[in-house]
Amino acid sequence: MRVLFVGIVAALLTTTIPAQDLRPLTEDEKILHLLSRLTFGPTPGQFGNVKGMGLDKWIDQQLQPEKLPQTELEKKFSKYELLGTTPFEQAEIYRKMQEAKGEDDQMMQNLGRFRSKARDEIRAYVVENAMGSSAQLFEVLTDFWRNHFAVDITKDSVEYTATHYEIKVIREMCMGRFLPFLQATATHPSMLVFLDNHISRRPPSKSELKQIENRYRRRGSTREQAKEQAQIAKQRGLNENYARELMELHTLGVDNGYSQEDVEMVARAFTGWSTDFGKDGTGFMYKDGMHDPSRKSVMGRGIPRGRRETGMIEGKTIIGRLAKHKNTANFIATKLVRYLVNDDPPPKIVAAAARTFKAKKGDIREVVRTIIKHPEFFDRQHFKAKFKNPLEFVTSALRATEADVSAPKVIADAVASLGMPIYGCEDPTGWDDTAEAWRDPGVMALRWRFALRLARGKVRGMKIGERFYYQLPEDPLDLMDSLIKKVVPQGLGSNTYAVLERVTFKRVQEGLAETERGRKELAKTIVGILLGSPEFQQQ
Amino acid sequence: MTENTRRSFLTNTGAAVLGACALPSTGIFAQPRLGGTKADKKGNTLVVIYLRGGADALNVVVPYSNPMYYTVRPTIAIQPEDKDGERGVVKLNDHYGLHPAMAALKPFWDKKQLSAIVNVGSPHPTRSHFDAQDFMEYAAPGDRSMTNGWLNRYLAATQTQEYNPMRAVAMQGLLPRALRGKYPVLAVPRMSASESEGLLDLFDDVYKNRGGVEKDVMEGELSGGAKAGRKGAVDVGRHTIETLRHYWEIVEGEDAPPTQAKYPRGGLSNRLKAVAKLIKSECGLECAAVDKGGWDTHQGEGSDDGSINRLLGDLSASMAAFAKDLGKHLERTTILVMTEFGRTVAENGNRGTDHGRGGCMLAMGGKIDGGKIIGDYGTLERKALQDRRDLRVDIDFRTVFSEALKGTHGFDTPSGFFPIFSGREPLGLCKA
Repeated sequence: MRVLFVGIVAALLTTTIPAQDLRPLTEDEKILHLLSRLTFGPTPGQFGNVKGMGLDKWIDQQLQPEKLPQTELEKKFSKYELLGTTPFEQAEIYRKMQEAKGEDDQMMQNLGRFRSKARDEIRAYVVENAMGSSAQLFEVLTDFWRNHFAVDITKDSVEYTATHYEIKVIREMCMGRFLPFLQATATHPSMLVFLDNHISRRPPSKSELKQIENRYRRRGSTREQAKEQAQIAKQRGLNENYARELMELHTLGVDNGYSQEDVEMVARAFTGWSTDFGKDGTGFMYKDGMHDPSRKSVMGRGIPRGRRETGMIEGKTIIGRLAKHKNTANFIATKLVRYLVNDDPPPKIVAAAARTFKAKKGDIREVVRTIIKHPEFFDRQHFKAKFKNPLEFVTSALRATEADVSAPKVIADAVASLGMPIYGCEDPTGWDDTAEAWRDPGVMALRWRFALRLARGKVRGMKIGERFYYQLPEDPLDLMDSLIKKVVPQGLGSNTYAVLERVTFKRVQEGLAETERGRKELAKTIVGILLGSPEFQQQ
Repeated sequence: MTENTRRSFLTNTGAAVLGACALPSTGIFAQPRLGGTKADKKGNTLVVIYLRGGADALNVVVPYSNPMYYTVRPTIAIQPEDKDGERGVVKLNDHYGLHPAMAALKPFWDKKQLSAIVNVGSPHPTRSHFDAQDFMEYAAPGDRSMTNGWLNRYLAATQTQEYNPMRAVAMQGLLPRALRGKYPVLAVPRMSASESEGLLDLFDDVYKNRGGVEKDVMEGELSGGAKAGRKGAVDVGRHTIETLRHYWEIVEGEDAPPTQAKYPRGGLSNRLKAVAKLIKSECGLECAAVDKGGWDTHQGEGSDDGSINRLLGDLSASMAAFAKDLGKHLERTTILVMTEFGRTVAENGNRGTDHGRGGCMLAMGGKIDGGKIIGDYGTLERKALQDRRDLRVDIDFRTVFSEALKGTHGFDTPSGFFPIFSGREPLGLCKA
C-alpha cells in the first residue's frame, strides 16, 4: 500500500507541474551542464573561466584539442619508460627476459615487474590525462572510444601492445574519420590478440589434413597419433570472434543487418590478419598462408579480390562497406548521444548525429559538434541526468578538490576497486554506459570510503591541494557554503544541505570550529560528505 | 534474455526495497525481512570456489596406482606411501588418492559427502587463462558475446516479484564473471565491519527521506533530468545502505549465528566463515562465489613441499572448517570447487607444470552422491593424451554445472541456458 501511495503522489507531482520540466536551462546551468558532460568534472574556478570566455568559444576551443597547450602533463610523462615504445620493442624486452630467465629468480622477478609495469603505466597514463589535461572534451572522447574499441590488457600479450594502441590508435584517431580509425583497430595487435583474429586461419582441406597425417607418419608417429594431430589442426582453424564483434560491437550493432553466415564469411575474409613482432614494429602482419581463398559474399554482395594479398583486399573492402553503412552511422550516433547526452538517447539528436556521420564521411569531430550544438543538447531533461561511472567519479573528485597526485597508479587502483579497471573490461562489449550498470548493491560503500579518505588525506599518493583548504572563511556556515560551491557548483538538494548544516552546527556547539585547525577538520568532513552525496554522483 | 530485464526488474523490485527502507531504522534487520517468506529462505545454497590460475588436477586427485604418473613426474609426484619424511597420498580407493595436504577432507569422502570429477573441462581448445575462465564462467565456450554469468542466468531465470538482495553474494569487491549480468548481485566490499558500519551511518542521513527529492520537486527546485538523476543516485545509495546493513547484521550482529568450527587463518577461510553465517541464518542465500588465486604453478609447484602443498592445505582446511561450521546446514549446501583448466601431465624443468586442458573439480555437501571419482585419467601414456601432453576433456563442465543446479536447487536448465549444448550422459553427481 505504501508503495502504491507513494507512486500516486509521484504521479501527481509530475502531472501537476509539467511546465517546469520544459524551462530552458539558464546560461549558468548551461555552463554547468557542459562542464559536467564534456569534462571529467569541473575544477574550482573553471565555471568562472568558461563564463568569462563564453560558451561557444569554449566549445570551439575544446573541439580543437591540437591547439591546447599540454606542457605540464608532458613533463610528467617523461618519467614513463614504456610510453612511445612500439609493440615490437616491448615484445623484444619481454622476449629477452624470457630467454634469460632459466633458473634465475632475479630474472623471474624482473619479468613479473615488467608485466606489471606495462599495465600500471598505461592505466596511470589514462587517468593522468583524464584528470589533468586541458583538452577535456578530447579526453572524454578518448574514454568513449577506448570503451567502444575495448581491449583487455589482462589477456595474453595485450599488455605489451596497449600503450601503442592507446597513443597511436585511440588518441591519434578518435577525432578524425571513422574509417581509418576502424582500419587502425583492425590491424592493431591489441585487437587482433584480444579477439583471437591473429590465430584465425582457413580450416584445412581434406587433402591438407591427409598431408599433416602423412607428415607425422613419416616422423615415426603411429597412425593413431597422426590422425589425432590432424584433428587438432582442424580444430585450430577459423575463429569468428573478431568478425562477430566487428559487426556487432564496432559498426552495425547487434543483429542489425547481418546473419550468422555473414559472420562466417567475414571471419574467412579476415583470416591472415595476424601479428608478428619481428618486422617493422607495428605488430601487424598479413599472412597469406593462413588466408581462406574461397569466394565470399557478405550481406548479399560479392567481395572483389585482387591477385596478391587477397585477404588484405577483402578485409579492407568489408571495413570500407561497414564504415559507411547506414546502420553504423545510427549505431555510433546512438552510442555517442547516450554517452554525451542521456542514457535514453533522444531520437532527434541521434538522427542529426547520424546524418552528419553520413554527410561528412564519418568525421567524428563533426558528429560530436552536431551533438553539442544541437538545440536539444541543453534540454532540461538531460541536465544532471546521468550517473557517474567509477572513472568519472574518481577523476571528478580529484579535479573538484584540486588534488595533488604523486602516484597516478593509486588513482587507477581506486578506479579498479570501484569495479572499472582501465583497459580491463573482460568483455569486448566494453562497460555498459547506463546508470543501471553501476547499480549493484553494495557499490556505493566503496565510493563513500574513497570520498572520506580523499577528503581526510588518507589515500597515499594523492592529497587535496593546500590551496583548496587555504583561507577558509571564518564563519562556519560561510565555510560550508564556499566548499559546496567548489565541490558541487551545480548545487545541493535540500536534504544534503540540511545534513551539512547539522554537521556544522554540531561542531560549533561543541566549540570545535573556533580554531583554524578545527575549521580545517570541519572542512574535511564536509568535503567527504559532499563527494559521497547523491548530487556528486550525478553528471 | 531481453535488454529490458534488469531495468524492469529494478523498477518492480526497487519498490520492495524502498518500502522496507522507509520503515524506522531502529533495530532493523534483526530478522531478514527484505522480501520472500520464511519458508522460501530455508532453501539450498550452491557455493562456488574458483581456483584461479589452473589447478594441477594430477596433484590434487592423485592416480597413485599408475606407474606412468611417476615416470612423467620424477620430482613432483605424490608418493603412494609416507616415506623418508615425505607424506604419501591420502588414499580414497585402490587407484586414486588426495594430496597429503588434503587429509582434512577425507572424513567427508568416508561419509559419502565428497566426490571428485577428473578429465573435466571445456571443449574449447584454449589454454589462455583469460579465455578459459571467460568461457567457463559464462558457460559458453567459444562464445564471446555472452555477458551474463551462468549463476546470474540462474538467478534471473528464477527471480520472483519479491526481491531478496541476499539471494547471491560474491565475497570480493569485484563480481566474478559467473555472477555478473542483468540480475543485481551483492559484491561484498573488502572492508571491515566497523569501517563499513561507520560509512553507512555517516551517509544514512544523506540518503534518507529519499534524498529530499519530493520536497525539492514540490518547491520547484528539482525537475527534468536532474530529478530522475537524483532519484537514481539516492536509490543506489539507499540500496547499498540497506543491503550492507542486512549483510553485516547477519554476519556480525547480535543474533549472528555463532561460528562452530576453528577456521585456519587466511582470506579464503574468512570469506567462507561469512558465507557459513549467511547460510545458517536462513536469509535465502542461493549462490555464493569465493575466489582463491595462485594456482598457476609454472615453477616450484613441488610435491608435498611446494606451492601446491600450501594452497591445497589452505583450501582443504578452510573447506573442512566450513563444512563443520555448517553442521546440519551442510545437508542443504553444495560446495563446488572448480578451475579453468588442468595442467600438463608431465612436469617441466622448474618443478612445475604448464597450462593444460582437462582438469578436476571437487563437489561436497549433503546433496552430493559422494564417495565417487567421476571420470578417469586413463593410462596417461602420451598417445592417449590431448595433444600428447594434457589430460583429455571427457566431461564437459556444463554437465557438472547443470547437475549441481538441479541437485541443489531443483532447477532444470532450460534449453538455451547453455548456448549450443545439448547435454551429455548424466554423471550422477547429486543424489536423485
